[in-house]
Amino acid sequence: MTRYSEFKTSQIKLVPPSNLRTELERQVMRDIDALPARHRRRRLLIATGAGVCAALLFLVLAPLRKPPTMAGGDFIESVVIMEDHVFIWLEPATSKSVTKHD
Amino acid sequence: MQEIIRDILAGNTNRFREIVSKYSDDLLRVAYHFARNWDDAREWTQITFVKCFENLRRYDPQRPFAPWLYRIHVNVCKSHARRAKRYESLTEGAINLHSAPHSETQVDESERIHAQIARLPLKQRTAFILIEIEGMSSAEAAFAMGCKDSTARVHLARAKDTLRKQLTDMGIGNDTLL
Repeated sequence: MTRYSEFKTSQIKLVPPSNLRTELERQVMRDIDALPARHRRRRLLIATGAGVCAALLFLVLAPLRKPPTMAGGDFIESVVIMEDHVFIWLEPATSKSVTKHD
Repeated sequence: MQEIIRDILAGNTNRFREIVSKYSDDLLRVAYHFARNWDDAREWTQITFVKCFENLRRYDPQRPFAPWLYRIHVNVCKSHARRAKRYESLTEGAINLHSAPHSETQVDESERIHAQIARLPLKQRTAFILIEIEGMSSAEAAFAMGCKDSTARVHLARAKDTLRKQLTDMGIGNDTLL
């Protein structure tokens, strides 16, 4: 038998130390028992992360939003009395067309 | 095995102990070939069993269980071996500075063969460990590796070629089995 064959045979017959197997079994069962708590913790972390992200996004985007317009502030009121008629009309403040009234 | 899995899925998690007892030796040995120390082998096998438990619902009961478990295990071992190799290459310089140099005669021959296997590219190493050492068929190894049967055989042939050259150079090779 050559040295490589000896090596191969030794590797095939390789047996893990018995205390290692016991330790492995114990650890695996402990990890499995702890899984529900771990999953709960993970879900909580994800929810918290999502909440923090949403709050940050809101804080960043809030100043960029256009403030709501006030009805009275954006229009110019014009009143003209002609004989027994009173004409009242509103023009948008941003309107470029200027109407002259004498 | 199907009955055990059904029981576990129904909530009797204690029966998972039976799966651990049945496969721990085989998985530990495979992990040892990647890690070359029993502590890491135990840790990686532990990760495999927990992953197996977490994904048990995805297991198809129409197919054999062992190749599915090996597939998870091979992925765990490969990813940790990759990380370990990166860590080794980072710390190699520092270790060499502090450790006394070993002469060739001091190093155990079996360790030298192990070292040559560890130098193989990861896919070749996996094929070599599963087929040559663990005695799996190329189809089983291919399933565990997530590749085609022919690809697994090519990886094995390349691994054997490389090892044959290296072991011959070391005066260990020239073996009809390799």
